[in-house]
Amino acid sequence: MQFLFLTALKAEARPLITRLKLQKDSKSHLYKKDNTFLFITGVGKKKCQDRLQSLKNMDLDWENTVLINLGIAGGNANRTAIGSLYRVNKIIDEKTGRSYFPDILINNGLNEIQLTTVKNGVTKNGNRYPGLVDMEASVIFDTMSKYVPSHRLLFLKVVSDHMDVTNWKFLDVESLILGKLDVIQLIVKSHINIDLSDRYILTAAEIKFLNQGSIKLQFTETQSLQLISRAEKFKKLGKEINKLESFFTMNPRSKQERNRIFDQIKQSLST
Amino acid sequence: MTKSNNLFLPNFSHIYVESGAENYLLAQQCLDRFPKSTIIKIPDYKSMFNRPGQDFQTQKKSMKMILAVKKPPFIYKGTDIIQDGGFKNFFYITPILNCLYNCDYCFLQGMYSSANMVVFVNQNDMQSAVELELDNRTYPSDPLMLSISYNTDLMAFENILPITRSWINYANKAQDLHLEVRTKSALFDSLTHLKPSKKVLLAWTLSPEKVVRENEFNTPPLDRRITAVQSAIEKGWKVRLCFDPVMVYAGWENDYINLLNQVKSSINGSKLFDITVGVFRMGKDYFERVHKSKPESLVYYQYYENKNGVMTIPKVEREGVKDLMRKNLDGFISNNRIHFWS
Repeated sequence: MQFLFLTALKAEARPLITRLKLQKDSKSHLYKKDNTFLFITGVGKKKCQDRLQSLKNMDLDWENTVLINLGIAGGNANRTAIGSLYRVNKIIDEKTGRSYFPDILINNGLNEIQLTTVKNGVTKNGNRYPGLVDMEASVIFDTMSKYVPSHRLLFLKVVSDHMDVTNWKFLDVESLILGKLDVIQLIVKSHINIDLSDRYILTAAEIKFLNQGSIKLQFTETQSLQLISRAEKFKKLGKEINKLESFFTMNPRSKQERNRIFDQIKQSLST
Repeated sequence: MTKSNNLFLPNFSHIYVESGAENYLLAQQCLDRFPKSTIIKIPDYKSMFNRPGQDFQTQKKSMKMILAVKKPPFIYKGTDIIQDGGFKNFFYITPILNCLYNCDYCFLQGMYSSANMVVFVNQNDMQSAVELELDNRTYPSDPLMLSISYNTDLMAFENILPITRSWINYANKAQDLHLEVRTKSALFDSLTHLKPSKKVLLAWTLSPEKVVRENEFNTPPLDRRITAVQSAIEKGWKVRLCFDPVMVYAGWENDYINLLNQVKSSINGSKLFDITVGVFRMGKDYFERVHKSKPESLVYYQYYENKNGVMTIPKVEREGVKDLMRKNLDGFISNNRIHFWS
């Protein structure tokens, strides 16, 4: 399992970078060490959406990634306490009215709350929002849920203010995050669970073996996909796919010959 | 809340309530039943249930409940995949979507992208639709048979919400309405205070213990189902036995012969309403959707044939099932009371 933190601000990221000794890749701007990654999205929906485009193209193992949007948020004064950490169970995009629901499957004892993603920071009449307010979560859910299933999307927010701040510079963002870092690490630990990963049948090495075979035999894209699918079924029934090795040494000299070899492989995988 | 894997939250730790659903009695009963659950308001149940990026089998480890108000259609005509048991006016309704159980051969995982359970709180609207259908049924001299447990196991849910008994009470009052309640549950006790109704067919699915253990996750063991069947017959209910699906695997014949022997030694065949027998079958689209999710179950990696858009075992195996079941049910119940899907 690997973990990808998304923060809007460098100040939100700094405690994690320091504690986990994350190193920045100057090309991708991705911080990483071992199985933990961190990416700073910038503040606001537009900037966040733009930066997430570059993230999507990075070579991350999305099938095993838990994505954690960590940051500060404004909170309803009657329902939240400054410095408290919440897990978001519902995100509403104020502009579109659309709701998003991360799956809450793992037991970690955190208080839960709903969050509204707004365009501009809220500095007065904050209690019109029932829970928390931020400026990125809806975009993160909308964009990243195409890559990471909803049970591996976590939105963790520390309440920084009650939406009555006149000067944001006075907020000690780092201390707010630092104060909850131990709990956050425990939550991360609770998600190290094979049941949360995507299920797979063929290993990465087996897929590579089949793909190389497809290239060697000049299979069409459809044939390559069928080969993977049939090999999965074959393996699932307890059989070894390395029996295909002898086919992969062949050199078809025409499309007809290629198709003949493909039919032979299909036959071999169905017995 | 029901128990599940330690790391995972218990089932129904969260209840999502569609706007307007909270005004219904059934919603209140449900919320009272789970006072510790986190309540989340949602605009429309589909915004939660039909989200992209859900994983059915992962969600099964911690199912959530969604309370919603059903919109039309409230009643559906039976499909070719469901056995109508000879009833000409055969319909089904969906009081609940999804099931407490997790049978690996079940079509629900191909039908829905979510494993969460939707409870429709406006059962009265479904009853009004049934009344309309009763008035306009194609074969007016035949009763209307309504399956109420098609997209769920309603009796298994009876200790949570009393929907089965509410439908039985309704059927007793409605002229020409018969109900089929298909189940794997052993919760017959929840209905014992009701007067047995000749209009209600309680249909138990029975499978060999190996199939229960390996394919019908979270369901009661065979002996408890048989005990429930015995109680129901004893109390005077109409009972159907369903050997459906008969699973075909190495050694299935012996397992099913043993199952039938156990059934014959513990249940009086003459007191049964009928028996249905079927094999694994699933609409091609649903099958492919399940297959794509790379399920653990071996069911989706066997050889099947496409029979008019339905994935099922090859004809020779279907015939084998039919022959074995017919032979071993011979003398237990008359042949005209055995219905085969093949």
